[in-house]
Amino acid sequence: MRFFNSRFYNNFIRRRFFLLSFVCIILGFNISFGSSEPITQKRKVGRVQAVYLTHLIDFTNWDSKHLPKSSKPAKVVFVGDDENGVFDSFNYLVNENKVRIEGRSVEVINVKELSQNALSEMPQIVFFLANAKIDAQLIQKLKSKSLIIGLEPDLVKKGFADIAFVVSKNRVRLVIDRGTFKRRSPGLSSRMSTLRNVVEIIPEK
Amino acid sequence: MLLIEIFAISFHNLKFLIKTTFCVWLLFSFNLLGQEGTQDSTSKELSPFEKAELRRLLELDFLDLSRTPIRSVLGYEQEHWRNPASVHVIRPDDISLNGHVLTVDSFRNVAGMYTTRGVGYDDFVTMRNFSGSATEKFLTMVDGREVLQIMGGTINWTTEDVPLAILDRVEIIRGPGASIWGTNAVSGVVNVVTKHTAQTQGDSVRLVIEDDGTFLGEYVHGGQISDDSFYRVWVRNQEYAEGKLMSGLDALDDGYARKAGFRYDKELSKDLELTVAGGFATRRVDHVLDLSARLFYKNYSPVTIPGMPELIPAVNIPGLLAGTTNWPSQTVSAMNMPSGFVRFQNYEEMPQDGSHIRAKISGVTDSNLEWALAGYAELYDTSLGHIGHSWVRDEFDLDFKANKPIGDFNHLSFGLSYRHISLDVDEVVTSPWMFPTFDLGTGTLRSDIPIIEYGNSPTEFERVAGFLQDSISLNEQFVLSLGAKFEDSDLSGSSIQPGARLSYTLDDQNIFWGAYSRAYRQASLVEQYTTVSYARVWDPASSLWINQSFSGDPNLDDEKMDAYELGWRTRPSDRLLIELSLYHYETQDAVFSGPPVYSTSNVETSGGELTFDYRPSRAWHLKGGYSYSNGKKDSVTQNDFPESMANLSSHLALSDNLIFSQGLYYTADRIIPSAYNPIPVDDYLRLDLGLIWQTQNNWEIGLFGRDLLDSDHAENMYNDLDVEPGRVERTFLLSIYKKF
Repeated sequence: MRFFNSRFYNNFIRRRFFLLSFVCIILGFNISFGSSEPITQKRKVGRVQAVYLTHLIDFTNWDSKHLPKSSKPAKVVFVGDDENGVFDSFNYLVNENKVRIEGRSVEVINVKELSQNALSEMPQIVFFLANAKIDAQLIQKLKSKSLIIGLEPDLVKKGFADIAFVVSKNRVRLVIDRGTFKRRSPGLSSRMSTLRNVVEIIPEK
Repeated sequence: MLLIEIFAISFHNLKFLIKTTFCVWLLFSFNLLGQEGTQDSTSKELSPFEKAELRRLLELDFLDLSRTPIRSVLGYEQEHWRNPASVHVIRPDDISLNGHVLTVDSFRNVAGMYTTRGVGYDDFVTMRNFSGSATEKFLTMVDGREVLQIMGGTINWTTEDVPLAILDRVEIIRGPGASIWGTNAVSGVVNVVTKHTAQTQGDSVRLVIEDDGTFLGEYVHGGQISDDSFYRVWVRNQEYAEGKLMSGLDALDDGYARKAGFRYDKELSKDLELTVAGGFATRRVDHVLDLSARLFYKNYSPVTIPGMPELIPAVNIPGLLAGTTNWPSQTVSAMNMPSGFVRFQNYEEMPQDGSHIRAKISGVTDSNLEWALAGYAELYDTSLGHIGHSWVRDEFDLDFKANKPIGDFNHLSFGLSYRHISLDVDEVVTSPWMFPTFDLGTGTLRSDIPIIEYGNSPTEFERVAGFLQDSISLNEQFVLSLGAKFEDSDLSGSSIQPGARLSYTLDDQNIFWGAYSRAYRQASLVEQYTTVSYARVWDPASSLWINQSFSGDPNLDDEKMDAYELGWRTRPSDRLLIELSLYHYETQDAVFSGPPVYSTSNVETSGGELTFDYRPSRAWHLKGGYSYSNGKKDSVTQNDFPESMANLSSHLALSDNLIFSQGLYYTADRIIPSAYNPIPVDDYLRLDLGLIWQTQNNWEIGLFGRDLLDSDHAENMYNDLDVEPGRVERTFLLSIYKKF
């Protein structure tokens, strides 16, 4: 074999202790300082989710019956603990870019739990964060009136959310209930369904 | 100017400062490593860096968002603010809003890059004052394809450029990147990335017309074949108007460059993509070889001409050239030449045809292994008619790259590549040189001495390389990158090029980084294997023309560089980013061309860049940078690279669709080196102004005035080939651009 007689191979063999040292150094550092998943990664996931959400608004249609009066702002309610900064990130994007829902300004709030009071004015988007308590009865009231988004794909599979995020293969992508494309309001543009690498579509529950 | 002087003084004697600070930085870092990270990020507000990152992410569409890695390898995701390297990213708007025609023009806005023009079609780019001004000693890639011409060590920026509508970004990494990018990533890396075809659907047109007649037209069409496959095709035509040399002579640099390309993307399955792309470029221009500075009369005893130097241009000796040849001549006042100097020159065609095709298959496995296998094939046919040197280059590349998170803290990247290059070199004697001349090498009279002679030097080259790099999140504050490239090539033998980079996040607004790298650059084929016959001297004693030549050295070692870098990146607010990068390079065996040989020297280079990006309001965006660089060759300060450079660009939205653009560029003086004809280039200040009207249906119409402070100035030329630079003239430019 030409390769095994090559200068490269011979030099590589001669210098393999360099490679060995190099691997040892890498493994050494890995053992020395690891403790838990870096927070910087979690926050990056949160930023990407917030940007997805901002884009999703442009791809969603709300009928007037599912919107507040034109003088009032539309509402996006985050429920639970904002562990990865998705609420802060989205709030920043809304203020920075003057994001609007069907021509209305957007009010973004974060509540620990979803209560009947919070639903007195029907939010246009409800986003369940980590540790959010899922109340099936309240979800039923929200269904087909608000766009419900969760962090876990199981929420979509169990019929509790229209859209969820999935973090796999070092990427953030979307899981969407097929019914969200079919209904008129709040309904997702069918263009989203063609983005096979972005969206996984779950049959209606 | 005062500000620039102050910066220059501050940057002076950087070598001591950088090395000392580098050591202190390492000690400080390792001391801090033992401590736990103090940031409690669970409840913290967005930092200015995070806010700026959000604005960048918002510009990505769904497809790009879904491709954004959560954990990335340092060196891949260049805009991450913790990246321990000096990175500048050029976006398409940086080109169109500044009135730049080609991508290479936009490098004038990058601190530390020295971008110049010779005649109309010659662009030269060097980075961080690394040993010489003509060869591009950094690695340039277009969609992963290395585009450095192995013969001369240069890049043809016209041939490799792409239409603006398909350009996604140009990442410029200042400083060595050998551990991940490989050989020739010596003084930096320029990484041109084009858009996915799904992002270029529809039609785009761009027309740029200059007042001197120079024209650029681009048309791109993108379409969809099926749900998961897209394509685009494009054509481009560039017409060069004839300019002037500094003496006032016609530069005879009119001609054209035409290019066409395609790309096809298909999603084979989820997370498995295929890309096939290719292009063909042809350029037809002329170039001059000035003969009047290549034929001399040797003024020495016993036949002397009183009051004249030892070498007198032969054209000044009546009757001397009679019987040799009949060349076109003009009487001019050329730079560095006596008034009324008679100029003899030979214009020849300098055609180039280049084509390439590439295929890439890439994916992500369930175990988070992100991989890409790419193959490239290239065929380039280049002829330098004015010196009678031409070659055809066939090249095949196979490249595998992968990266994978290991645990929560390590991200390993690795790769293997193979390259095969085959050359067919041809040399002819141009007609003006076909007269009997005494060749000292053979001791005979010859009429067949070419200017560049490659002879029976090697024409087949192979290269095998591999790299391994780990990006390690040591804690919330420290990111360490360790890596090495292993390489073996017929040109440069075997080498290991290690690199280490460390970044430290002090707080929400400040990041410090440091790096050590070793990098190698192969001597070009010209530097290793050619004999250059640069002049002929009439010896009155023997009544013979004597050939003057110097030869390359096949035993030239690789240039070896040890590089130390330090950086500080601060964001006082999400509207302001300030970056400081300092470097000190120690290079052994740096190659310098010129008689009597391609000599090697030890070179020390120190310098730094200070840049800022500021948005005082939604309507106003300012960017700028200052760079200082000082190079010493064998302990003697070099003057072939401007010590100071500065740039400032401003974009002010006068209304929702009207932008006022200003660009200011300062370049200090320098000397274009030459064995017999060094040319001083004065410092120059360039002011560009423009008005851009952006319509709602994606049309952009811009009117620009460039070089408004000066009717013309000199910038560069091919040293040891050209006699004088072309004029870089004031121009007015109309740009009409229909975006996708």
